[in-house]
Amino acid sequence: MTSFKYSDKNISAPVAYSSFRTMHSVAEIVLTYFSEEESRAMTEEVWVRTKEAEDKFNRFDKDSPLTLVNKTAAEEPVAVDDELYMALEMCRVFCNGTDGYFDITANAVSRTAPGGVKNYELDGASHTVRFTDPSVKLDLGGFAKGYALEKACDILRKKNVTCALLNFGNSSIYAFGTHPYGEHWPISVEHPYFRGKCAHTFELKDCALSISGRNRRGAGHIIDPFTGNYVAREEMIAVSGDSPLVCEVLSTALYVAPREKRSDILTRFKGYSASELYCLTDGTTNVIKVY
Amino acid sequence: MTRKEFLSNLGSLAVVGSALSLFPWLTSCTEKGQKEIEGQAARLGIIGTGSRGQFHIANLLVDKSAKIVALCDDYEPHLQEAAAMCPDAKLYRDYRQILDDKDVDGVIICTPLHLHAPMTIDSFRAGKHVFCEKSMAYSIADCQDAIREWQRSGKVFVVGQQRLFDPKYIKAMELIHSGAIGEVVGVRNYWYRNNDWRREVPSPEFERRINWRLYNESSRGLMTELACHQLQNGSWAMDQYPDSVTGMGSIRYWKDGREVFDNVAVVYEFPNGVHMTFESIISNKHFGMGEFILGSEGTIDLVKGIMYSEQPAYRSGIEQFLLQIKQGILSNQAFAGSSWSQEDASSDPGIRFTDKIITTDGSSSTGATNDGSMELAHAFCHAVITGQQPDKIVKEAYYATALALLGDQATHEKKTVYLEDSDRIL
Repeated sequence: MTSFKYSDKNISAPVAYSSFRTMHSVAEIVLTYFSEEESRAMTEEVWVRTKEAEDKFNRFDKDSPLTLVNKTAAEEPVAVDDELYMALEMCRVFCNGTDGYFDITANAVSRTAPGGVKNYELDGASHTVRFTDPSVKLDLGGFAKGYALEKACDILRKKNVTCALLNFGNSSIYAFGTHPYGEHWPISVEHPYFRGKCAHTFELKDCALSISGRNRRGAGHIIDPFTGNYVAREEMIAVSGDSPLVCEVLSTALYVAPREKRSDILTRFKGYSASELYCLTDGTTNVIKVY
Repeated sequence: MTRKEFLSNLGSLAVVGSALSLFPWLTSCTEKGQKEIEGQAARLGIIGTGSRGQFHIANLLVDKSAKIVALCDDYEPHLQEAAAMCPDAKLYRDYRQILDDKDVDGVIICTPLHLHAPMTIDSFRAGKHVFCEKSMAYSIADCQDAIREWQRSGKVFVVGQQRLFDPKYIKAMELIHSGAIGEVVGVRNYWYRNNDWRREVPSPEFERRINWRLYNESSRGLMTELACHQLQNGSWAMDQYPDSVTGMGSIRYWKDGREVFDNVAVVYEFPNGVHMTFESIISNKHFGMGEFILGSEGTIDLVKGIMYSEQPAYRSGIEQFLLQIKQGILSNQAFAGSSWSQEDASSDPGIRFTDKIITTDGSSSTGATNDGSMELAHAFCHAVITGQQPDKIVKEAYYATALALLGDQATHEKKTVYLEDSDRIL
């Protein structure tokens, strides 16, 4: 499903809007200062690229390369293409960099041991993956959306886009430049207990934002690799910085990590800032910056 | 009620057109129907001036097409209460006297259930038009006797199934028949209250007269008093009638000498395989009143006037900025969050399909405002004045009652009972 709308009613800021259902959510783009034809072409290119990433990283698609890995890598090394190999390498780096709190094998019996991932092996020479634990099933859910958003931004950057907003599933956002009538793009987080109510507003300018927490119904959906249980903390974690992918990974890792460890993990990622959002049932929100 | 107010009550239905083919009894609601009776009033007698009778009186007093000329009740306090509302009306203690009154064109019968058929039959024989409260009668045989007498009389016959005139039900049925929720796959009705269903009695000898709803000789309990309204929903939505029903009932909580069940659960089966449930408990009101038509593509909540989709449209996060930039403004609505989630069928907030919707929790045993009762009474006045029988209204009422009675039989016999060919008289 793709929708596209365009308006040049405001001649000083012609604007396009497009949405696309992907990765079990909806991705949207608002793009300004381009013709309808250019806008349509750019958004279509983004959607094609996003679909490629989805097809590759979707563990629920029986025909995806990741599914093939999950099915057979416990028996024998599985060769994967450059992109998937690189993604798995990056996940390993992120896992190490977050003390194991970001872990694409969190649902395995042999979950992350602090400081390193040992349950899948990567062979750089043959570009193969092999599981050392048969219960491993790689899950790129906390990676793919940020990755796809990163690729989408690359496409638009090459087209010299200076004023646009990309929203992948309301939790991964990137702002090019500023809102045509503001000093930034105002991105308000919805209060989980009050539909439509603003819990906190982030002001984005050439910057990504990623938010992790429980889903709208209050259920946890991120597994703690140290316990194997779903994390259901009260607070949400919002991370902002240059890279949508790093923001995505960090928000997941910091949400899983205990409060006392968050600062230590964050300091390893220069240029990124994080906040804890405690949304209360009375409609108020306490925002605590992670230092 | 002025014509303008009346038409306003029915909203877009006043223009009818396509709606008339689905709801032919609404002829009186058209502009043409209103003009036909302009300046005229039906001369009415009210038989039974208890709570429901007084409810109708209150509605009719603001309807210019009605003139209440006579009141009848054999319980003096009720008669005097009604007399205070209609000081010019003649008072009778025996309904046969009202039938002899040449100034009465039509009667509105609001008496205990077991009296509906004999009073209806006598009224037709006396040449009166009849509005009988629901349920139509105490038994299917009684219903059929009343219908035969109506057919012989050439008079008009209306039964108090007010949902047929409730704008939100009419709009809902239009939506259903237009395919808005796909194929109808289920019908769910329930009606919960938490009260003993008793009226205060001045002395014990009045118990069975005042609390007639609680005794088998005069009442069929929850099925005829509550289910009768809701059982219309399935037939109306699918244009067919169930052919069997099974059910259970018992006196679980109000063990106060009553004879009718204080809780029932019944299931009807339609020829197309659809099942319609009715549940009622009067010792727990948590769920209140609910009526739902379940479709393959959506669900309609008849009571609240809301339609839910099985695949709701997603709520856009940043489309708001398109409009802002188009208008040259900056604004901000909250959308960001920890994870996107599909608006699935169970969390769909739904859309209201009528304006100024008025809902009721079903707690009143007298009647709710704006539930179609006023329009129904007006339709009766129209019919009395014009002599035109509202099409299909008797059929709808007959089957609503027949289904309620079969359900009652099923709960007592604890078995499946069937709508026989002999029951299908219309």
